[in-house]
Amino acid sequence: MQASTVIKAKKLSVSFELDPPKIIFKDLSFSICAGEHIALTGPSGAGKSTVLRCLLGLIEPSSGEILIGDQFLNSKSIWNLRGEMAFVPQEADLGGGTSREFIERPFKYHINLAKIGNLNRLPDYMKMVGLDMKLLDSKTGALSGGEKQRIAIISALLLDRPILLLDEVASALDSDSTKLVFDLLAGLKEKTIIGVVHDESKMPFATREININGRC
Amino acid sequence: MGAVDLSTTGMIMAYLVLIIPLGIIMWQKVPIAGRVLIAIVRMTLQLLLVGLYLQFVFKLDNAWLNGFWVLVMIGVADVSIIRSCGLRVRVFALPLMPALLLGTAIPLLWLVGAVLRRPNLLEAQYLIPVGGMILGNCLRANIIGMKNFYSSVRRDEKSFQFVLAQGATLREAITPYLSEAFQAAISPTIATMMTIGLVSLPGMMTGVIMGGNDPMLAIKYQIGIMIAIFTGTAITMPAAVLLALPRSFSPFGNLYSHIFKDNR
Repeated sequence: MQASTVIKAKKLSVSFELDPPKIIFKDLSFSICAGEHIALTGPSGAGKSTVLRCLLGLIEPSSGEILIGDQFLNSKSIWNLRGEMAFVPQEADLGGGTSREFIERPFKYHINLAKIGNLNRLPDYMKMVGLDMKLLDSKTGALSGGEKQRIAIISALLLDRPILLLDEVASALDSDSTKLVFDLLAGLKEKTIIGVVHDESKMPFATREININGRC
Repeated sequence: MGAVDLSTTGMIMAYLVLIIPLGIIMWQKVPIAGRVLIAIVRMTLQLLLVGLYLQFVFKLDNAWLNGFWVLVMIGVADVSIIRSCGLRVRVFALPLMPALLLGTAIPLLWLVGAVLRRPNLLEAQYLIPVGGMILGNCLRANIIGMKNFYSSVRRDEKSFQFVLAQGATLREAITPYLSEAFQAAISPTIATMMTIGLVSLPGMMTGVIMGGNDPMLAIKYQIGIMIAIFTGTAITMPAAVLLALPRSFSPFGNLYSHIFKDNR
């Protein structure tokens, strides 16, 4: 049985209104099926992170369209569609409080209120990514880059959304932590994962690669 | 007994004291002597013109004219706030206007009507000076608050967008920024209330006392005006930000860069 398409981008173009205008990518099209683990690759500046930000409505494309599930992404649907995706940025800013406050914060938003029970899974996830529970009460400013990254990954996983968007999540992780995180992500068979990486080897659990060459 | 009138000699004496600050500026070679002189000339001309106009307004004491004058003051404050915040006038002039109108009108009409119990709410003697005091403080609070709000969201753009990505509505995403900006905006008024009478004697109070009235009467007026100022600043700043939301954030919740004068 063929899996259904969950994300479809059609002739997507992004350019910034500079003088002269800066074209990030032009006429980019791709389809992603449910449960696929995609390595989004391409050279620096090709617009890999921009693709993720377009899916989240954080960058508004100059042309083209995005379909998530059966909904076109627009200014009305985006407020619900963001509830279908969890995002881990490249350098997560965890704010000024403790790790626990950072993790609990999104559960105060209306869209996530019903998922507050997911916080029960926090000890399991902490163990799976190799973090001590004591770290939850540490100020985020005292955490290393790798610890911050893993806290951000846990926060995304707790939101339990069908689509995971990961922007170079292993960039601040050592090899042991990377293995733990990738083992955890590889086991999420029911989730659609798009991971931005420089090349496919950086995402060994990927089931497919989408390459953006930046010179469309 | 009224306040002592200032003779021409008295006014000349007032200007003569400027020799001291100007002398310090020249001595310290601070390159602002030109700006200071322009400021003194502008202050004199502006106050003279306003004085002449107010004489006319007070003489006529026409409710429409008085109301119109307050609207003019609000319009000037509107543009002045936006420019001081480094924001674009064409984006913010319209949404800021009702915020200033609300923040000025509510405490002003309450003070004149409910506290002073004047039968005519638009009486020039009260409406214009009290309106000016409330508006002047709203102006200061709004410059601090709006500048704080927009520069914080702009500075933390990635974190702000991360919060949107986590599913926050625009209102949920701006709440911490608005709260911080609101605190910054009202802090000077709170600090003034904490030290009033001990550190400073405000202009209104000194005016009433110099007019030959009982200091207790001046105190009562000052309490009324401080509460009105605090109420005005508390209304105006959040109202301005909330009313400007559709013009400063895209329908996707992203902060427009073109709202800043130094758009980059």
